[in-house]
Amino acid sequence: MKNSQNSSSIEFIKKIQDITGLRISSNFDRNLIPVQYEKYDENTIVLKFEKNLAGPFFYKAEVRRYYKDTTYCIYSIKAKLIDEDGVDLTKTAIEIGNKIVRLYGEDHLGNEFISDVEGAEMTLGVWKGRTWLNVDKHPVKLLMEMDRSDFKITLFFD
Amino acid sequence: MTEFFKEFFQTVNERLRNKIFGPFLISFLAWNWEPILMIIASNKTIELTISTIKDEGLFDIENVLLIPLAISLVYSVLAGYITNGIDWLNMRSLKWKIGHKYINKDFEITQKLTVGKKEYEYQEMISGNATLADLNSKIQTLTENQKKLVNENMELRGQSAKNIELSRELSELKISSKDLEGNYEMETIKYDNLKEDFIFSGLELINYQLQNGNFQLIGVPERLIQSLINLKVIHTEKVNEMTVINFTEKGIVNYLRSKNEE
Repeated sequence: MKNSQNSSSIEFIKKIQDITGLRISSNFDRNLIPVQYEKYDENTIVLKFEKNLAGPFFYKAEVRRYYKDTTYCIYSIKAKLIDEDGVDLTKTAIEIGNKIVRLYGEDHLGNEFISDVEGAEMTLGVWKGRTWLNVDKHPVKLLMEMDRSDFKITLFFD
Repeated sequence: MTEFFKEFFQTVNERLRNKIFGPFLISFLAWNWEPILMIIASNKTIELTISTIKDEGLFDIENVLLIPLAISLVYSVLAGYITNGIDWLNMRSLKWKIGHKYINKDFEITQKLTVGKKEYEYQEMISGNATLADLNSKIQTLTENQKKLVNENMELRGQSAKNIELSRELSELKISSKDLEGNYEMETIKYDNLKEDFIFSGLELINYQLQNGNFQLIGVPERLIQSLINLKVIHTEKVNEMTVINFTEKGIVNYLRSKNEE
């Protein structure tokens, strides 16, 4: 079961890599640099790693590793909806988001494709996002949301 | 009576001024002093005195008139010549005096000139001697200076020879120094490279451990951790009462630079 889950996880990750154009892995990445420790709770410490991405859409990757849990990490990629030249990249975000929706299906709230209205919400930074956190349904838990003005996709590696 | 004497003496004075009567009167008085003195100063009566004068033949024409007149005439004739003669004699004496005065002056000047000349010669001699002495002194000084210069020249030649020798040695030392510098630079580069390799490898190992959740680097050699801490590329932090390891700013810079050089 675990192997099938693993194989399905790998397939999912490959598909997400195709969608985002990035190499995403929970394994050791020498390009990730430890940045700072964060308190998760009294018994848990999290260390955040970062690396800059060459683009064209995503510019930064953040990884959080949990103490004494070598397999558990949260992998986030961030993109700006307005680039340095002032070009609005909301449509790109919607396209990528909809591709993920197509891969994952409706989220746990029943939301499917991202509408233009949601695109406007993204621009305003009030978009509610999409969450696929059911492990039984999806081998890789995924979260799409707005982190301030950044469009962020987070993957949970168990 | 007074006027009589006054006129008398005036007349006498006038007569005395006369070229004939004056000398005649003086010669008369001089020649006939004896009867006159007898008349004026004798204690005898005038009659006895006159009688005595007559008896002695003192008052005759010869004594009273001729001889005094002859004397006065001779005097009057000769008086001018005598005066001229006296003037001539006086003049001659004066001339002689003046002549001798100038002779004396001439002599004095001549003597002064002689003395002055001798003094001048003396001063010249002194100054000449002084100049000579100065020149001798200068010659001596110059000779001494020349000797010094010769000695210095010798010393300088010696030093120059030493300098040439030292210069040669310096050149050799410079070459050796350059070789050593080159070696040192190469060793330094090697050391720096090794150091960078060590830092990068160490940081990569630490990063690997951290990415696998080993925040306390358990199992990593203590010496490696301490070396990286000493190099200030990693440091310890206290989080939730637990000591953990993280990169420093310097560690991040070193790690990124090494990665970029690959």
